[in-house]
Amino acid sequence: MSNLSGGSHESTQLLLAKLVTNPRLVREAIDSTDGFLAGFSMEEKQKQELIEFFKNHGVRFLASSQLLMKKRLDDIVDAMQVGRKIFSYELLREYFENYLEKTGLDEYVSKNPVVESILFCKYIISRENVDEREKIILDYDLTRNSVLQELMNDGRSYHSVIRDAETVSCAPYQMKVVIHPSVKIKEFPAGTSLLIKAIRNNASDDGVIFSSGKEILIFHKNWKKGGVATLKISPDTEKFIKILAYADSLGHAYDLLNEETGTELDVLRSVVTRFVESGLCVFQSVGRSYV
Amino acid sequence: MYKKPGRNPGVGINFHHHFAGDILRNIDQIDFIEVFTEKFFIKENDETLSKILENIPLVLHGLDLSIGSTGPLKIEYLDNLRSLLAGINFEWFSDHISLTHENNFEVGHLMPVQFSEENVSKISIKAKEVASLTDRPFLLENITYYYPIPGQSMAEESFISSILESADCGMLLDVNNLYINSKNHGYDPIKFLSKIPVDRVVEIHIAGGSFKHGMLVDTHANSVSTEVWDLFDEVCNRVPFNGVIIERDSNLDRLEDLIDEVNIAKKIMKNNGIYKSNI
Repeated sequence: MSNLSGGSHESTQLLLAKLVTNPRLVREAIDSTDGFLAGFSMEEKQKQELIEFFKNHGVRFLASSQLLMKKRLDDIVDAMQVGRKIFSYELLREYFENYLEKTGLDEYVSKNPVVESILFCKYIISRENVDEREKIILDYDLTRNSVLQELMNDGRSYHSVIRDAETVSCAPYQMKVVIHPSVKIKEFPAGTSLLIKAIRNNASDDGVIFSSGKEILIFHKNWKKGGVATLKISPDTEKFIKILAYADSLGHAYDLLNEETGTELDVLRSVVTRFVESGLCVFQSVGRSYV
Repeated sequence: MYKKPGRNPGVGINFHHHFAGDILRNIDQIDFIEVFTEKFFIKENDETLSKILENIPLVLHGLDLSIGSTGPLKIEYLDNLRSLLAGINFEWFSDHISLTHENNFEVGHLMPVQFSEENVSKISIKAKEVASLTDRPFLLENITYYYPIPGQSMAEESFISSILESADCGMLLDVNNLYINSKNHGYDPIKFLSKIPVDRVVEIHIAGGSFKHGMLVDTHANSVSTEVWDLFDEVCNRVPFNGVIIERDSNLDRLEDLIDEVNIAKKIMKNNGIYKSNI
């Protein structure tokens, strides 16, 4: 039995707020109001008001719930940048109804479409009958949106960052490389980047062959264009990026990389320049905070 | 004491990321722009939006203040809002008389609140708190609602009026919401206007809706209906507002369709002798 906290008014508003997010439960409340309300601890007056409400306004409350569900699904689908191209809307709707079926009245789920798209992708991967190709695409979408979610929650300003690639050449010990902390580096089956590219371009991905090997993808804040960008990187580049993010300054990073890999300074400079141009990183004067 | 803005920016649109370049190219036809407040909480550099704001005035419109929640305003949201209002040039800012979360449960849309004296008091206190963040006007908008919350003790117009007077703030009058509510709940929108403090109306919203589930629905995904244009014409006669925003959130293939509606609004205002007139 749920005991909705607060006074009777708070309880009614909270109960309706929870219900309106789930048309299945609204139908249940309308079809068998007494049985439904028996599951809650509430005063008789509040119970009678709710019985009257479902009797007189139940149809519109259900319609409102259905409209909300459609908008919520539309926004989630919009956030699934690759997945929305391989699943039909009808199938995603069926999955979403199943997802809601598994979501109880007392589960506090974020309704932010980016955040909920992550939960929805995880749900489809674990509970619906999808093949390996579909799982890869859903994993790609949820990883990308996890980075986007962290970017959305980042309240810092970056007014002092330097986006000029030429800066790489001057004063390397006074410059720190900034790679946004939301960055995610993840292994996917080899062929994933080709698969994603084909789907994004609305081209056939029939020719994409997955091998048993792996490829590494980096999902990062795009400092040039905004949003999240993805790059396929080699194991050496992954190491390079991790050292860049770790080092106290660009000069320090060059020293560490040169010591570890023997790579010449000019080569390192050219790689960092490419990273700046692709939007992976920017610079900041050593000692400055983000703001 | 509430002071109405002296400026009358004219007719604008809400910002569309997908059409940012088109907005910039058509900037001479758009008098001002409305951007979701929460967009600025994400510290992204949007160069096109920055260029738009170099050319036309900005008004901020929030979705997630949730002033109708039973509990207090969220501290994190207020902090973000305070920081934004201090660092950006804008004409006024607004949000809705509704809730988007209750007791930490996210609803995911603008949910109606119970029309009651208790809520007038709670919402007014919070509105004063928000208004105190800046010297620019804070407006509250009437929402579309499809069902009343049980236990109501006030009519919609009394509820809205009491909040505006008690909080001493401005109003964003959504003409489409007024039209939809009047049809769905069976009242006369003109009588409604006669019962609210229209001198507090600063901004007007105009949008399109559609008929679904046996009722009119606020979709922001359709063209503005003739009935809503007619009601706007009446509003021009009766309400001394400052500016109009044509809202469209989806189902828009060309910005030109929205610009056409901007021009219709301008024409109606010109016919009433109020386009960019002194307030």
